[in-house]
Amino acid sequence: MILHNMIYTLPEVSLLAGIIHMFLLYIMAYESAKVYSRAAKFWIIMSLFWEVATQGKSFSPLYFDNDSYTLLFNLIVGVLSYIMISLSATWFVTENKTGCKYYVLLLSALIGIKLLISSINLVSLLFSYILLIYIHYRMLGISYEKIPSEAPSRYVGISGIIIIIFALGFLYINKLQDGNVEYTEVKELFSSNRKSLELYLSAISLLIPFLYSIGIAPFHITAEDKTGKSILPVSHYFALIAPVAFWGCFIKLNIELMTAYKEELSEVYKIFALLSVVFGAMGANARINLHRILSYSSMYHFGVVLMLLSFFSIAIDFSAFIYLFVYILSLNGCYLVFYSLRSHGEYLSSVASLSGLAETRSYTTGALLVSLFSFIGLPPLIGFLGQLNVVSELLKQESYISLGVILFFLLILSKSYLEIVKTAYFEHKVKTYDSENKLVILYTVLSVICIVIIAFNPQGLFEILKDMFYVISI
Amino acid sequence: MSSYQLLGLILIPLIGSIFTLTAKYDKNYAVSNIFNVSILSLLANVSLILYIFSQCNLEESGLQLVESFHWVDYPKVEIYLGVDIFSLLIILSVNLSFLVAEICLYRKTERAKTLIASELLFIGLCNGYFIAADVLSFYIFFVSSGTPLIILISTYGSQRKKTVLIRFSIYNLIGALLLLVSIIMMCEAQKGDVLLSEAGKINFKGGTEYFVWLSIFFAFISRLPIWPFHYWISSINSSLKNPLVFLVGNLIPLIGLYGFIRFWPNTVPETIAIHAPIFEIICIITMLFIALVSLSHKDMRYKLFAYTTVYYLVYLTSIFLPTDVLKLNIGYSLYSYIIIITILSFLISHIEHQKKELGIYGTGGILCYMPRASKCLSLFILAGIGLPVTSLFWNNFIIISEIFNYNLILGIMVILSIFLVSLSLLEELYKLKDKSSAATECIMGGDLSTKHYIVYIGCLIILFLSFFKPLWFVY
Repeated sequence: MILHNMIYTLPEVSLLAGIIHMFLLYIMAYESAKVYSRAAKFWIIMSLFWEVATQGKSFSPLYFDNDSYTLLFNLIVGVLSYIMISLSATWFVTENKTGCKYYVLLLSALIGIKLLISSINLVSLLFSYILLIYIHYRMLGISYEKIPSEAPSRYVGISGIIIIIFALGFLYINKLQDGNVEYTEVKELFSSNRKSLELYLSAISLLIPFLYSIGIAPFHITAEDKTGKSILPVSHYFALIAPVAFWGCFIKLNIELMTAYKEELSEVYKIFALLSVVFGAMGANARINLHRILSYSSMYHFGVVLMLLSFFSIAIDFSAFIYLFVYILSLNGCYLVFYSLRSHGEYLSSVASLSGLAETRSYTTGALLVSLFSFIGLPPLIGFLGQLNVVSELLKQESYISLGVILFFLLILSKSYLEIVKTAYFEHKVKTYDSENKLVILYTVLSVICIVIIAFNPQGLFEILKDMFYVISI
Repeated sequence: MSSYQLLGLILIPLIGSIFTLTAKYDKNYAVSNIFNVSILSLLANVSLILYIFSQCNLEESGLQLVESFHWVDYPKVEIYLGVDIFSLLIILSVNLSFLVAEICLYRKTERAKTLIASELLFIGLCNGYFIAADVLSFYIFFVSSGTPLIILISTYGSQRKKTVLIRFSIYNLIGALLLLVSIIMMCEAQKGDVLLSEAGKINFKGGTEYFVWLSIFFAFISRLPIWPFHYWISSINSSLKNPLVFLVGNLIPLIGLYGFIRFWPNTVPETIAIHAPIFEIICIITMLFIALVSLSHKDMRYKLFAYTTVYYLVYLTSIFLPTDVLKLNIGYSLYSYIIIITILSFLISHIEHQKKELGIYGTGGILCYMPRASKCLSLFILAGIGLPVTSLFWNNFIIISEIFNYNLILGIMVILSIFLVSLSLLEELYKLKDKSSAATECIMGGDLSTKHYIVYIGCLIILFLSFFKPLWFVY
């Protein structure tokens, strides 16, 4: 039995081994970012391998449960991390840094994410959430600027308050349950005490940390800091991997824990969703930094996902997941392009730095165009499938006002995307771009192929995703 | 049921586009390859269209050779493709036009890769739009055909017109989103995908019906140079100097027009059809306005744009008539019309190019030293404005007669617009041929090449044969 449990920890142990490997490389004074990157990639692949091999098994069934739902999110996170690590090596080489701290924190974050998504107990949920917040704080601290940013201290301050709210809710439920805080038990508690205001507030206090971490308005206080003010590899992590992990956990919480309060929460979610849609679209138009534009654009798209989740139906939740999935694919395409934007060894992030990009980098501009058009939902790109799901579900639910608001603000959001396109195609070239890394080109081409090809025949992929996702409702 | 022939019409240009993108950056060898791939793709497509024609029953008015493909389950979407004689004629003329354009432009362009890849993508998506038989695939192809347009306009448009691109994109996006909502409402009402021919049978309650149909029409109007959207399309077209891109720009209204043709004559419910006079009035005002502007305009390209716009609006006006017998006449007329505007845009480009090469300020009398260009331009302008040598003559005669039959004032306004725009073109032709204003004889040698001359005369022969029997190529 102990041997079995040890085997079931291998996905996490692989990542832990990766951290030790990094430490050894550091002791041996390796100074090439590529060495650290290779090691990190190897251990991520090992972790994914064990994840698949030990699917459905958990080293501690009381606190964690691995099923195909957790596997689905872990695979998405793993693949995205692999791509990110491959490309971040070029970033660190250009900056003449080893990136050791970044890779260690990333592997630690992946352990935290695995624990968070597979949690079935509030204790493990709280523990893994605090662990992730701490790792995120340290990640935000990776900066090579002479003047240190205020973002990490602001982040830790606000996150501290959020963790206190989470802990208060947890402690109240823990007290009522005498320490028995498994999801199934807590769900029963919520169902049998629906009228209790204290319990309702406790339930809310469990959700707020996730809404905050995802960046849903009005809890988006640090969202712009995370993706807009950090270095490119960290921004990439906060834009893609962290949201996927938190969404994975949030959707699970909704389905496994919060159904008792679905009527009350539905209206709350809708308000937050519409706020995110409005703030996201307006904010994106007010920014001139590409990372920040995408940060607000994410707020808009996550608002749409939350709107779908507000109906508390597994079929609509799956539509929300599809929307999230296609959005993440398109966003990844955008970030891959950012790794190509380099002039005299400096990575560029302002919209103005794209001026005349199409003159010398027609393929890169084309890839950016495909990703941006996919965000808008233009067929035949993959974004259209997400948009089709959203419009179809909202019409089915007769949420005409919500649909109207979402579509109207999509138009406003599109204006910010079109400004990027306009700058890349129409403005005169002001920068000389450095030659592109072949790996970046390869990943960009693969990303564009994914965005275009999946839309042509998505049925097979959707079937697999559906089978993995629907496990959560059983 | 499914023989993949119609799917082939979409896929051949798309595959050609991918091949084009893989070509190396080489000024001579690769550019030739790009054009060869493109010409071969279009030749294959034209041959396939002729083969599909041979399988169709010319007497049948409904959709033929229907193909269906399962796409996704969430929500359930089934893609239906089908053709009738009308849509096949449009597809043939568009593919033939681009084939002619490719042959004429062979290797003489900047950024050949972007141009040809986008153009082939546009053709593939346009073909898809013309053969879409259900509302959802119709939407997909309608919206997606806008993407290559944006790339082409961004790449080849004037730098001063950058705000126009944003306006174009926003208008189209508004139209696309409204169309999407309406179409999904239709699908929800029917609990599944809806065939285009059955769209009008869906019962919506009062306000919803107006919302659905007005949204659909708004989407199509956003691609037509009708008030209040007349500005962007004329701005875009006047800034496009590359003849192939100019041709693409001139086909944007065809997409909007085709949408109306597919939805209006049989499909629109009676409650909506009674509002047709509003659309007719808007069409007439725009038509007259553009025709009058063309008289005062000095740019030959604008005159051609005005000509194409007026004719598109004549076709549109005829669609709003309370009859469905004109559809095939519109098809025959459009077939000739699209080929004519293709040749005219190339001839104008040739003249402008020679003017630029020789450093001449005005084009007055330039045709005196270009006998081949002079013959071709004269013949095609005359054919365009009604010389009885093409199917345009007979069918426009029938269309205009029907408009007169419906409303005398409407008929007079249509004739007046056509007269003004024809006058404007003839005036320009006269200037180009007027020997007294010819600048110098140094422009000798700037005439059309033999290849171009043969291609243009070949097109004229094709059009001339259609005068006697529009479907002469079907056996």
